[in-house]
Amino acid sequence: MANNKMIMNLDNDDDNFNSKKSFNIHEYLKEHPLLAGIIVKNEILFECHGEAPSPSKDYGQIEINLDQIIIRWWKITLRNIEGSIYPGQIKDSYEDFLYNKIAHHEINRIFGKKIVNYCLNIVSGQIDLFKYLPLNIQIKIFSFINIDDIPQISLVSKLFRLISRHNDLWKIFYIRQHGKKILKNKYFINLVQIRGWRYLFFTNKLKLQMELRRQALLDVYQEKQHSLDLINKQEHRQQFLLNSSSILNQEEQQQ
Amino acid sequence: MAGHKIKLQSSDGDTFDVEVEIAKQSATIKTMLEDLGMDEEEDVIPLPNVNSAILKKVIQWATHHKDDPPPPEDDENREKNTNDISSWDQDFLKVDQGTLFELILAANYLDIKGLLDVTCKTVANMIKGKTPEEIRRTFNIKNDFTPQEEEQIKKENEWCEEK
Amino acid sequence: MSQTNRHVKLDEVWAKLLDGINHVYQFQGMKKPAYMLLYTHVYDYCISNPNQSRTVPGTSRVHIGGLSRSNGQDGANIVGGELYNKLKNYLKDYLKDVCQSGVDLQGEGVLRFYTNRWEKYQFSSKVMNDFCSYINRHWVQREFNSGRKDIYEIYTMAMDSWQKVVFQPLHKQVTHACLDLIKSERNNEIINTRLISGVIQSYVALGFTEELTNSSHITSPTLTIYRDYFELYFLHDTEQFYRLEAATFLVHNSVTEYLKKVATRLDEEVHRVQSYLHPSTLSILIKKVEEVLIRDQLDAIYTEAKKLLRDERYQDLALLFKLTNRIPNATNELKKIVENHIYEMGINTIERVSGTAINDPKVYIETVIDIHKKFLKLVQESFNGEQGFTAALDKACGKFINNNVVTQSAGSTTKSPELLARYCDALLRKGSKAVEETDLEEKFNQIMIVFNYIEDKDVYQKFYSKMLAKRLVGQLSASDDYEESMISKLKQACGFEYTSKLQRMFQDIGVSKTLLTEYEKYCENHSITDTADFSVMVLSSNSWPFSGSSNFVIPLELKSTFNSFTEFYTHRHNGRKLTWLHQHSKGELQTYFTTQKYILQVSTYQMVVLLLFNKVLTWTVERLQDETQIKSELLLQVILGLLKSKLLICTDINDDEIDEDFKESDIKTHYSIRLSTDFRSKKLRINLNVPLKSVEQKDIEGVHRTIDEDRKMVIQAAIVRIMKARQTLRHALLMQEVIQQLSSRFRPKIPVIKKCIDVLIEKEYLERQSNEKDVLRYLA
Repeated sequence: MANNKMIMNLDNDDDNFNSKKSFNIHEYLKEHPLLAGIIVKNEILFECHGEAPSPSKDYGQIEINLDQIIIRWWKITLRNIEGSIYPGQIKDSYEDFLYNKIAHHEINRIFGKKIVNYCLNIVSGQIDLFKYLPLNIQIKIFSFINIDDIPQISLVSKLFRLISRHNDLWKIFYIRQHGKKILKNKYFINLVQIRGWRYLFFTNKLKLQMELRRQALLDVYQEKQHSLDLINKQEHRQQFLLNSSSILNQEEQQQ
Repeated sequence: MAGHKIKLQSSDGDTFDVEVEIAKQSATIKTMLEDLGMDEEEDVIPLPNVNSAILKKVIQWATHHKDDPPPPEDDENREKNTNDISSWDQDFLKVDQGTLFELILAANYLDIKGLLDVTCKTVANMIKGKTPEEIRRTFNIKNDFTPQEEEQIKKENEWCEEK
Repeated sequence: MSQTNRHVKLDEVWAKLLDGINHVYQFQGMKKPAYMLLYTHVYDYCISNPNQSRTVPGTSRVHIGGLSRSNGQDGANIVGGELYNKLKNYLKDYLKDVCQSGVDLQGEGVLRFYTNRWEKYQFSSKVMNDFCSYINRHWVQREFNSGRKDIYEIYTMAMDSWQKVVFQPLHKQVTHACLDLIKSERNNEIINTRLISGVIQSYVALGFTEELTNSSHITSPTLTIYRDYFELYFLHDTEQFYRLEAATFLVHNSVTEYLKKVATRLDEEVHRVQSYLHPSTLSILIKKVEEVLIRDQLDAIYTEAKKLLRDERYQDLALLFKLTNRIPNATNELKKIVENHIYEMGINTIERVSGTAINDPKVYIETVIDIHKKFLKLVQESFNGEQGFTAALDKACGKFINNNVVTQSAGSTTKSPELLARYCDALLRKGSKAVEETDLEEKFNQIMIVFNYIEDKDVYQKFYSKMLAKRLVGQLSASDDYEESMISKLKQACGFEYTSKLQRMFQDIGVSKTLLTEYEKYCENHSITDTADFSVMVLSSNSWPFSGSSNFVIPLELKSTFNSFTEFYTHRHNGRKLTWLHQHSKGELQTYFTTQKYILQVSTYQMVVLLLFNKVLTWTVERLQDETQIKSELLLQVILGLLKSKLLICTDINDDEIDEDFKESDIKTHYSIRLSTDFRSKKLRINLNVPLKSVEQKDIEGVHRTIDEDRKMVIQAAIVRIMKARQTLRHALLMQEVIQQLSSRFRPKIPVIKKCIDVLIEKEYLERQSNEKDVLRYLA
């Protein structure tokens, strides 16, 4: 397999960079056709930009695509020195980047050590595959996690936070907790459409009762409108039937 | 139909003879056979999204599980338990992340509920009980929150737990 | 598949799919490789997300507030909607063409067209649904979860499209053609039912409704289309057809023929539903047919029922009942008709035999039994033994048994119980002819049937006990077992109290037997030897319907026997009073004055008179009375009987004067009577003991007289019982309860109950509540 170092210690010393092996992502995708289906050509695997910590005002940008890693930086000083703003750029293949100490240094200067390690992980084949999974599978995975763990997990990343708050996930949690019976209650379903499953999951029974009653009241109002429609429809049908029966009668008479 | 076989072809051109009953654990293949029937002369069924290595694993898994009772139609309200992975499945899934995710996608593509469940549980077990930082390390996930955002979420979570 | 560019664009995938979809909808076979490739195209398209903004880190700020309100609307990012719409539009265009080619067709043509195209479309849509199933799993489910109601799984969407594009413009023709075919079939033509079942199957499949509750299928079937576009018209047509048929058929045929036709029609309609309609139609269709063919013809059916009853066509009646029974409450009228018929038949049959029946219990009761048997058979065979009809039988029998020509000419409703009791007596008496044991059991059961219809069960009891007494005292019972069996049957029917007297009578006989053996021992012990060969029955006076008889001077010959027993008994049971019932006693005398010795079986009275001739051979009537102290009226009867037997001779009358017309009043007190010393008889044992007329008559009169008195007592007892339990009760309620409590014995008349209440108030058992006159109060 292309990548057999699954978990890496991010606190490794710089010296350990050398222990990382370079990685051919095109080969990798050939070996994983299904992953290849979701990691598309020209896909940007990683992208970030930002300011170096003060007092430096330098600005940097990193982009990793399937072919190379691109690092750009702009030096910014407060003193208006001619030529003080001169951007720099490094474009490296995965393999070259692994050994390009200057690139490491620039990234470290602007973004910090964690990002250096993160980039090194990517080019050595440790791609964040989780984020490429279809949403319904991500939700399925989360559904196997205890509800108590969910708040912690939502701190991992924006994606994790999005999944851990996803309506479909909380529908699963809700039904697992309370059973399916409540789904027969149309007021409850209305409430779900308005509030979402997660809200209802954390709503206590008393409050839920109250909300359901409010829905029922609303419903009575809507029902009235609806039943008016229904009456019109029925009248229409009656009329229709009368017509058809009179046609039949005529036919009989003709016979 | 026992013993009757169909031919499945992987993306890299290898052909596998698989017993129909085993292949039918894939709902996709099952519906196809129901729709189109079984001819005397069997065509080779291409699976352009699955390579040999993964297809071999999938067939291996399906063969092992061929006598399992059919998964319940709808088990959403069954207590989810990630600890009920059989030791055979645990051994079977001792693979690198790339292969594991590829298996998830294969199970999804071929609609094999049992395999999808067990692979997703395995990933869930890699998340359970870990700190956010540990999770990030496990999957090489970038923390894309600003410190302020992180604070805010933590506060919100506390509020959530009180509630 | 290229692995470098899997970023599938909508147009690209559509181009690839279109070929396959065309293939499928032109009903060209599909190979598995092609199918799998189509599936893969759809999968690849859905899985590749061109706008993976959610996975690109660092490009957008997290809106915490915004995220927390997220209801999963982010499903919009999921790929599938555009492809879904393309499929939908494809089907719409395709179906427009389909519809166009069928729009001008009529009759079987349109049916063949519709069913053929439908079946193929359904199959094609299933295949398309399956190779596009990743859209269902991936996009449709999510859309549905986020609240969209107009998105279905692809197959359902295809059904929906057919409904809108093909069904709506064509359904009138199609339904009409179906109905025409059904009409032909009803007119006995052979039709291609597959055409109709195809249409029905289509209409059923087109009805569905959204449902959130089941996550794997977001729609569930309903029958709205089938009901609104087929069933409604079908039922309407059915009604028209059968209304016409009923009218025309009845003009030329009898109602019975008509009913046979109705039965066939109903079977046909059941078969129709089973073979090509939806099963849910069965009950509503049958109900409609029943309404038109049966309910609306009930008047004719009732008239026919009367006719069939008269003609005793029980099989036809059974059919008539079976059909009428399908209509709720329609059999009520039938029950009335049956009840009236049985009643009339009962009344008329009894009228025909009334001449003999009034004095012949056998004729009367067996006539009643026969009527009952006959109509029980009717109820069972024609009306399935149904409870309502059994009740009608009971009501009719109760009516004619308690009130008919015989009871009317006897002037009392108590004639039936009397005749029944006499019928029983005849059966239970020794020497009753011909009745086998098994038959007897059967007869008892029949008696009980009649008995249950008798209102005045107390009257029956009176007569029965009287006759039982006679059988017991006279040792005339055919068998104790039969007696006991009859009593236990009565007990079963009316309870312990009803038969307690009868049972005690029975016991008395047994006790008497032991008493007699004890008495024999007593005689031995006390060396009493001068007694006659003697047996006695000691009967408790309140159980037996006997009253004391006129006394006489006990002849010397019996004196010691009489005295020793009296002494024996009073010694044993101090304080009990013995009353001798001479009128029920008898004995045997042997003649020594004749050359041939005869044994005479005689009543005690006869014995007393005859024994006097041991002293003197000639007595005047006057002297006889002096000597015996028998009441002259009775004595004259005794003498007359003996004169007729030629044992005694009256010297004042010629022999030939003593004929049928000779009455006891013709015997004057100064006539002298002598023993016929040259008495001869062919038989050695001569029974002279004929029941005395006066006794018998008195008995029957007595029964009738005492019944009213007894009833008053029973009613009063019931009132006291009820009031004691209730303390206070309204007048009307009390009446009701009294009637209810006593109904098993007799039907108390309201004025009598009122009188009884008054009596009880007088006796201060009850009082009227001072403020409410209507309410009675029990006084302890």
